[in-house]
Amino acid sequence: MLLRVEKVTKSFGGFAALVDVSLTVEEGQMACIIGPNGAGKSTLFNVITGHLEPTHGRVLFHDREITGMQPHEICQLGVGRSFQRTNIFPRLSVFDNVQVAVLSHQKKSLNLHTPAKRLAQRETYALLEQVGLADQAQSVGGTLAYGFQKQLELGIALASEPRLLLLDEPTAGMSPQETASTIALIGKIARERGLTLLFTEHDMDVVFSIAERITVLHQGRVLAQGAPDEVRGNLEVQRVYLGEGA
Amino acid sequence: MPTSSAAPSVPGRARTDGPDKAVWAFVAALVVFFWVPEVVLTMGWPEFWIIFFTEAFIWSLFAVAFNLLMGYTGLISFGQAAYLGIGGYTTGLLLKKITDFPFALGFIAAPLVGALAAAVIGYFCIRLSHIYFAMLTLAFSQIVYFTAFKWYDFTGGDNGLIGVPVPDWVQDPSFTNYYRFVLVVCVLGVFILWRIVNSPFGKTLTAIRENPERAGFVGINVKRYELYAFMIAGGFSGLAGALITLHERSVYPDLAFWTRSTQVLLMSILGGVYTFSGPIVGAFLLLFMDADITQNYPGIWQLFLGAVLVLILFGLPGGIMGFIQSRDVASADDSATRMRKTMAEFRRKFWYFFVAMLVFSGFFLTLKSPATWVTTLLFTLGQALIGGLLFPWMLRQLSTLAEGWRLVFLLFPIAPLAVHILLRTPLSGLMIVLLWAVCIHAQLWRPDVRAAFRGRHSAHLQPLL
Repeated sequence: MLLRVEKVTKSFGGFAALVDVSLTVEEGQMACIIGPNGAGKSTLFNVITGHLEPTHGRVLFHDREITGMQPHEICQLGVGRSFQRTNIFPRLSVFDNVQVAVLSHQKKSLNLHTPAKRLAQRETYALLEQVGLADQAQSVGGTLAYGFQKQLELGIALASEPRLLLLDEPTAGMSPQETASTIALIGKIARERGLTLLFTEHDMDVVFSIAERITVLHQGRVLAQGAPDEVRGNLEVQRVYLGEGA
Repeated sequence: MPTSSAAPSVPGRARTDGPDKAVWAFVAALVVFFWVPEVVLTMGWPEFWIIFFTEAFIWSLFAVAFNLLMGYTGLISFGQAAYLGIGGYTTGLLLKKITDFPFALGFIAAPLVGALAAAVIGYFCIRLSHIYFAMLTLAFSQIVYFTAFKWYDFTGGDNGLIGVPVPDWVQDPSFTNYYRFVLVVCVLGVFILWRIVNSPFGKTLTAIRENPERAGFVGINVKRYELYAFMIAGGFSGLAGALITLHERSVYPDLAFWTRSTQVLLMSILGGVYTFSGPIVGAFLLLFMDADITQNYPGIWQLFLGAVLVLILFGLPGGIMGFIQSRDVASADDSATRMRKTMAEFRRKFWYFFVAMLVFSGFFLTLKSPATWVTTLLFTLGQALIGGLLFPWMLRQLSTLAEGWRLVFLLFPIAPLAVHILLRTPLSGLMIVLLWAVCIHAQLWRPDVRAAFRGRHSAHLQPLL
């Protein structure tokens, strides 16, 4: 079992954003979390990646407890992440955006004397090629079009060679074509690298086309969990969530 | 490493430019400035200028060290003078209190103690961010200042530490030896900082500046790196402090006073915090303008400085070097589009430059002799009229990509230099000419532009321009 979330509760003051949430993700799986706005998807991601500490419960990665670790430590263990709103280094070039992450992964960030131009060139270009940004390497990250920024973020997340990649709404704000090509890209990369994916998504077509396991969150609680067909057949899920969208 | 089916193409550009070529800039600076005292003494100019440049070098080192925090890591320290003071007192106390203490050790101790103090103070400061971080650094620097100010038994209090013993070679009546010592130390110090900002560590700092949260999620321990940056800045500031102590052969608590922290902040903002050379340019420009104006026109310096800052902050948010640097035009464009963009950018910068000249000279003349404001106004309007008629034509000529016009624009700022000499502010004039030359060079002597001017592409470019 690659990731195991056990009975996680997260309260902000009196408000419980997550209540007794448990879920597991197996190695190589494409798992998806769905749920209406405010269901606690992003909070759950923040708990897994160490940005928030759960009030109760624990998170295990490869049977090792990671609850309460710092984000950079969890990243170094092999959990990568991309964000709902694009989260890049806006005034660095596309190349530098990815190179910084590659250097960090190679444990070369503390090198104070070798010019960075001599390090991690090949790896960085390989990543840029993989996410389709090789010909824009010298552009400034923040000036890219929205879809490209999302691709860049994926490149940054892949640089640390994660075993588990968390994607928070990877297609948010994209047109149908962009959504389709982004999903195709993510699927291709995940297969090539044998990545385990845990993602949130609001587009049900996307969810049911690629997810192998779906967790439905509603008001901070797990409403249903299982293979796509089971979830689709669940009456309660249809009532609170799928019914509104379809 | 990532396995991609297609072999990645690594462009060969990586090795030729960057730090390797920049070494020559440092060597050139060393060689050129090495002979300044010779020139000053031969020409019979006052030795004040040798001292003046000595101070300018020290300020430059201090400003670059400070900018490692501000421009590269995004940490705004309001108390950088603390490390200047700590370095200065370290050298001063060691040499003065311990008889026959080796000079070299006393000097080397300053950056080490500076970095150590920064480690302790930084440990607390980096826990906070933004304005709270700035306030905490200010608080600590005031603690350092008042400790030096009040501890009469040890630091001499506000009387300072007078008569720090220095080797004979430092006490040379023409100040040349010490000038050269400072020059070498500062060039070396700045060079080391240059290597640091171009290393993976420096890149990581810029990533932290841009987005600390994201930096954490790529596996960077943000707080630890911030502390290291704080220590490096503290160390080099301490080095600058030691140079000041040896220069004055005494130390006063003023070295750590908060006004020095704000001055170094001003220098960095003026020159441009997102460039490496910005703080150096800012340090030289501020000191040049100060010397020019304070010497000949006492009483208007503060007012003039305030106006310069307001205009810089609004007009050139990236500082002077940020403005001068040629923006890299997106590589996806074809060469004709690139040229058109380059020319448009150059025209824009030229007009900016011209308007700034008019505003500053008009403002300065009014400050100098408020009674003749009508003459000043007419003079400025006349210049604007002539420029407004002449320059559009000149810029059109430049767009024909004739080699000669490129040189005309390079020589153009000799006019403002002449005005500056007339006004008895030659140093500022010289600085402006230099900056203009750098600006022109950055815009019009880029390899692709050079090729266009040599006529290789001009045939198909003509209709576009």
